Order: sequence, then C-alpha cells, then structure tokens
Amino acid sequence: MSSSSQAEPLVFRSLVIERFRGFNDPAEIPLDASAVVVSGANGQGKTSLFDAIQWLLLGRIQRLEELRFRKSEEHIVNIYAPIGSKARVQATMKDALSSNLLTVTRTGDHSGSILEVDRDGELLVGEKAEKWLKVALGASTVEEVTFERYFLTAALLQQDLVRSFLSTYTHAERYEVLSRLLGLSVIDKFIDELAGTEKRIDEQVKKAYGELQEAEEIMAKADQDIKESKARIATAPVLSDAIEQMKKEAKSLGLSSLLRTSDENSKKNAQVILREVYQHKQYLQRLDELMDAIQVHFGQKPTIAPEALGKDIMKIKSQLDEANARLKDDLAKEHQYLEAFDKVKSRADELKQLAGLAMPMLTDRCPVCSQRINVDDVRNRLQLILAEQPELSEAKNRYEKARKAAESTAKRISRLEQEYRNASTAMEAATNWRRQTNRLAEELKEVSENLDRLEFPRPLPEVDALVDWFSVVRNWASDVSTRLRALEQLAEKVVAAHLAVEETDRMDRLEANLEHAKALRIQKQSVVDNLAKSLAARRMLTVLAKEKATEVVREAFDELEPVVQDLFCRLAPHPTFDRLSFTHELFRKRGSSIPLAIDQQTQLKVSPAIGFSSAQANVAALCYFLALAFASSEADFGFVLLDDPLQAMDDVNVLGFSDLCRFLRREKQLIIATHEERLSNLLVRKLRSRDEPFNSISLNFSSWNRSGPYIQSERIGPREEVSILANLA
Amino acid sequence: MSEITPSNENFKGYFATKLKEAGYDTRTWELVQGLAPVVLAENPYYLIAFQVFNVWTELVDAAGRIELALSDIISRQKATDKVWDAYLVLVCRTELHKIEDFNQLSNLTYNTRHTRKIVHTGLGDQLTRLDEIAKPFISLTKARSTAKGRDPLRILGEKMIEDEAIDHAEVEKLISIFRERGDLASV
Repeated sequence: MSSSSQAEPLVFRSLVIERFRGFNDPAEIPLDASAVVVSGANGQGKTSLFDAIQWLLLGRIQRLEELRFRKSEEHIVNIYAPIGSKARVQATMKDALSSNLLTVTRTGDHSGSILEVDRDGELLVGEKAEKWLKVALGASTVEEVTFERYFLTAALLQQDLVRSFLSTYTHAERYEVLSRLLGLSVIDKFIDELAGTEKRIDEQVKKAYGELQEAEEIMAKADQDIKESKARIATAPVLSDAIEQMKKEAKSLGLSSLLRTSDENSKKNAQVILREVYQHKQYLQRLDELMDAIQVHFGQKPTIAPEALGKDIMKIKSQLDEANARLKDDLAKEHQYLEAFDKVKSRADELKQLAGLAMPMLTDRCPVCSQRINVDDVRNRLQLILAEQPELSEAKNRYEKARKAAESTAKRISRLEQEYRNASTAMEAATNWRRQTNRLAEELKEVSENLDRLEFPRPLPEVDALVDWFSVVRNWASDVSTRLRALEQLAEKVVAAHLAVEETDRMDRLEANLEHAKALRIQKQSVVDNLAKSLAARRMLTVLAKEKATEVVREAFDELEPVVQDLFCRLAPHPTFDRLSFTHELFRKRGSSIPLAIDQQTQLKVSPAIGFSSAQANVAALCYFLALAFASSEADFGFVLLDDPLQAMDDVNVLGFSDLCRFLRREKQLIIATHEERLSNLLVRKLRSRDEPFNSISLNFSSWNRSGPYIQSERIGPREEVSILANLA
Repeated sequence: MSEITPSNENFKGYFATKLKEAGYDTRTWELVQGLAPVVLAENPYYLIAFQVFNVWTELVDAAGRIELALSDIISRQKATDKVWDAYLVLVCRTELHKIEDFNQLSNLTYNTRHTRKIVHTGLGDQLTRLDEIAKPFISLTKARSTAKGRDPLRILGEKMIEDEAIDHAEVEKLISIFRERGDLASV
C-alpha cells in the first residue's frame, strides 16, 4: 500500500464514535459533505466530536494531556462505559478524486491505543498504519511531534485555543512552525549537507597537505642522501693508494701476518683485516684481564702446601683412631666398676635397714631363746653397720676413677676431631687454589697461543714465575695494541675507499630516487591545489546558499502575507488597522516571526495580541490559522476543523466569517461547530449551495444523557436562487 | 506628466470590472432617484450595491436611502435566501477625522437590520484599494495551488546560479543529488 497513490488528501465521509469521552453508545455521524455545521448548546458533546477526530488521527488529545493529574487517570473512555471497556473511533474517509473508501479505526484507552487502516481490504495495523495515515492526510512528515504541531496549527482550531498562535508561541517558535509549514526546512537540510561536503573537502585538503609534506620530506632526504654521498666520495682516499699504504704500514708495523688472505685488494680483505684486528684486540684485552686475575690469585696463595697438609691430616687421623680405641676400653671399665659399685651399695643399704630396725629392739636377752646377749657388743657392731662401710667406698673410688679416665679420653677425641676438620678445610682451600692456578695458567697459555701471530713473548715461565714475567708481557701488549690501532685505521680507510667506489656506482639510483620524489611532490602539490580550489568554491557555494536561503525564506513568508490579508480584509474587525501581516527577522536556521496589524493610512503598526480587543485578536488569530491551513505546502490537510471559533465576535464579524466559510468549503472540507443557534442558522443558510452540487450537513447536538449526545442530522442539498438583476427591468 | 485624477465613475467602473472578472453580472442602476447611479453586481450568492462619495456627509445622507431601495428590490423577489446576502458597499474618498464621523461610521456598519453595509473611507485617488474592498465577494487567493507548487530547493538553486562566479553545473548537480537521495553523503 503506497501513499503516493493519494492524489488529494483525505476527507471524512462518516464517523462512528463509541465509548469515547461524551459518547457511550455507538453513534454514527454523517460527514459526507463539503461543509458540516455542528450546533448545540454548551455541554452537548460537540467538542467530543472534535476530540474524537484528534484522537483518531494523533492517538492523543494534546489539551487534555496537560490537564491530567495522574498518568493512570482515564480521559479517553466514556465514564459510564463498563469497566475495562475500550473507546473506539472509526472514520470512513476518501480523497477528493478517487471513489475508493477506506476505514481508519482507533481502539484504546488512556494507557494506549492501536490504529487500523483498511483500504480495499488491505489492512495496516499499528506503526505502519500510523505512518501511512499521516502521509495520506497530506503531511510531509511521519514524525509524531511535528505532525501533531502541523495538525493543531493548520487543521484543527480548538475551542478556547483560538489565540494560542498569537499568545502561546514565542516569536522563535512561531517562526519555526511557519518555516516548517512552508516547507523551508528542506533548505536548512540542504545547507547542512552542503556544509558537510565542505567539511569533508577540508579534511581531504588536510590529508593531501600531510601527504605533500611527506613527499617534501622524502625529496629533501633523497637530496640530502646525494649530498652526503658526494661528500663521502669527495673525501674518500683512492682505493689503490689506501691498499698500498695499508700493506706498507702493516709490514712496517710487523703485522704482515694479518694480511694473508686470498684477495688482498678486495673490500672483503679489508673487512677481514678489521675483524682480525678486532679479534686480536679482544685477545689482548682478555690477556690483560687474565694477568690481573693471576696477580690477585697469587696474592691469595695458601701458606702451607697441600702435601704438608696431607701429612698432618694422616697424623691426626692416626691419633684419633688410637684415642677412639682407648675410649672404648675406658668406657668398658667404667661400666664394669659401676655395676660392682651398685651391687655393694645394694647389700650395704639392706644391712643398714636391718641394723636400723634392730637397734631400737636391742635387749639383754634373745626374745626367741632367752639366751643372754652382750648388748654393747651388739650395739657397736650394729653401729659399724650403720656407718659407712669401707668396701663401698672402695667400689665408689674405682668407679669414679674409671669415669674420669673415659671423660678425659673423650675430650681428647673432640680436640683431635676439630684439628682434623681444620686441616681438611685448609687442604681443600690449598687444593682449590692450585686447581684455579692451573686453570688460569691453562687459559693464559691458550690466549698466548692465539696471540702467537703477533709474536707473543715465549717461552712461558713456570707458574710460580708468571707474575714476575707479566711486566714483559704488558710491555709487549702495549706495543702491539698501538700497532693494531694503526693498522685498523688503515683498514678503515681501505673500507671507506671501497664504499666511495660503491657510492659512485649507487649515485644513479640516488638521483633517480630524487627525480621520483620530485615528481611525487609535484603530483601531491597538484592534488592540494585542486582540493584547495574545490574547497574555496564549495565555501563560496555554502556562503551563497546561506545568503540566498534567507531570500527564499523571506519570499515564502511574503507569499503567506497576501493569504493572511485576503482573509483579514474579509472580516475587517478593526476600523483603522486594516492590514494583518508578520514581521520576520531571519537568520540562518532560526528567526522570529511577530504578528503585526497595520493602519494602512497612517502606517502605524501594532501587535494584535496587545493592541486589539479580545474579539479583534480572535479574528486575527483565526486569519493566521486559516492562512496556514491554506498556504502550507508541508501539511495540506483535506479538511479544516473549527471548534466554536466565533466566541466574543460581534454581528459584523460573524456575518463576515459566515461569508468567508462559503469560500473555505470550496477549498477544503469544512467542519465547524458553534453553540450559538443564531450563527448556526446563518451558516446553514450561507453554506447551502446555489450553483454547484455541493452538499452541506447540519448536525444538531440537541441533548445529552449517560448514553451520549442526541444528534439530529439534516442534509442540505443545493437550491438555485432566481436572479434579481434579471427581473429588475 | 501629471497623473489623471480618477473620477467616481472610474471607481465604480473599476469595482464593476473586478466583480465581473469574478463571475458576477453587473450593471449601473439608478437605485435612488436624484442620486448618482450605483453599481449592482449579482451572482448566485450575493447581490451587491456599490457607490462612491467624495465627502463623508454625502455618504451619510445617501446611505439610508440606498439601503431601503436595495431592500425594496430584493423584497420584490418572494422567498429568496438572497435577502440575507444583500450588501451595500459604500466608499468615501476623503478621510475621517472627527469623532462624530467615526461614530456615524460605526452606527452605519453595525446597523445590519436591512443589509450589511461595508464602508471604507479615505480612498483618495487609490483605485487599487478597491481590490481589497471587493475581496469578501470573490474566491480566496489561490493559496493552495501556490503552496503545492512551492519548491524552495528549486528557487534556491535558481537564485544561486544568478551569481556568475558560481559553477552552475555544480549547483544543479548538488541539488539534483540532494533531491534524489535526501543527502549529499556521496559528494
């Protein structure tokens, strides 16, 4: 389903309202006429009809959203409808040219609603239906907020909000609404996009400039390479001279042995020499380090030779073995004497116990046989027993003597073991020193062999004489180092001469590089120049577009002015201010639009919101609203909905407005409500067609109860009137 | 070269032409004996009588008589809704200054017992002021067709290429791409 098939915006054919605001029972309202006059006293449901259309098309009622106390407050479903009911508004619509009808249905409550569009049996639901409908209604946008603003500025003039265009909007908001409705926002977008392309070219210029700098650096480097190369060639020695000098000097330096390679003239040869020199310098350095290490090592030489220490260890070992054998004997004796002592002591202790018991019981007769006893003798003998016995003392002395002997032997063993350990440690240190000495000597020998090509001083002395010999070696090493350095410099010269020859060969390539870099730079410079030219042109274009956009905007506003004035002069609410206009201040993407009434005779100007009476200001606001409804290219709705627009208007304004409605209905479907019977009758009369097959419908909201409004509808067909002028003669 | 001062007849002729162009039948008719003839214009919806006066007192003196005469010719036609659509358009070429003149203007305008009277003053020699005075009786400005044909982007392009320093082909190309794609991302 495509909206592009819509040649004309949609108009209403009928409306079914059910359980919505003032409507409870389903009510079908005919709207298949170019003018519909809705009449009835206040509170009979007229505004609910306009609310139903607004809710159907927008999904919300803007003026009620602001009044709701809570989000959960129900403001859509009829208050007398069963709990949980959903409101439903269904319109049958058609466009002016096609005969196909479509139905648009919204069902829901305060928490949300769903829209369905049924066109030729093809059903659109939800978001798709919302978008399709907005375009089909004649709007250029499907964005909800903008569409709502369009609808409330150019389709529905709500009761009590007649003057909002004059008093609610700020000058800037009014400008924005006007600008959008006149389709001028496309210019802003175009200029934004143009500025975007300018930004992109600017970025390309910066990138190209960076590449140009890189190319310049490459060129400078190539140029520098050539200069440096030329300088090296200019200062380099002649190769053959350098080789000859090196040979000569090597001979005189006594280093001819290092020149023995297969190709003495090659660069490789010079490099081999340099490597040899380097290698020998490394050997000399190692030799120097070795001599230092050996000197330090000999400073730590042990006082006793390992051989002598070996003898000492053997001797201590022998003494230790002997002492251990003796300790074994001593311990056996100690054990033996201890057992003997224990036995004697045990027997003596028993006797002492018996003597102790017997002593108190001692009498002069035997208690068993009554034989007479020499008490003194027995007491003396018992006392002897109780005193220390000599054999116990002897046993104790023997044991003590054996224990002391064992103890003495153990001490001796301990001392010998310490001596053994000390001797062993010293032996190990002496052995290690000797091993290290051998290793250093071995390494020295090895290094010296590496240096033989440089006539290292020979023969090597014995190890103990090395340190004294080192002074000879150091003198030799110093001399050789000096000569090696000289040879090295000569070899470097040969290498430099070789490099100069190579650079001469390389010069063509370097010059080719420079030419290539120059060409690259020219190419990059050309890119930068072209882009800079494009950028300047695009900048000029953007500035011009901004400048001309102001003219386009001003002209579009100028187109609106005669429309406003066309409407205003028909109603002429003010005796002297007979022109209604705007004054616009235009800037890029913003501006301000201030409504203005002008006394054409005196050219005095006043804001209608300030200088007009309430009724006069209402007329001015009505003119602005209708002008936008007719002059908007972005929201060309097929209908105009006017909910009681004539409040506080006097008779002359009412007459002028009813005449105006005759012309309005020829341009758009006109649905107008009024609470004044006098005006509704006037409108019904005025809107009856007399020359064309237009129908009008009169909807009289005559009463209201809990079921909803009682609506009487009357279709008013065309009726021809006789000509008065024809009968005048 | 001095401009020719238009006569009252010129004013009536101009007004008649405007309404004729809008589809009205027009004729000049001596509606009130002794007064200058008025322009009568009629279409299926309106019957309009138009008269021009040089001074305000003449207008005030004649208004009542013209109104009655106009009502009289409508009333000869029985059962016509045009009784609601008779208009008396009166213009005075001089300006009003006195408060009593304004009072009289208000009384005239707001007395709609017989016909609605549209009164304009201070026209001087400005025939074109009649364009606006005739407007309530003719169709609305063709604002819708103007709006539908409005193409701000095309106008912008045309204005830009007026500048000779600008590459015209580039402007046309950019506008064409923008119109086709909705942006200039590919440029």
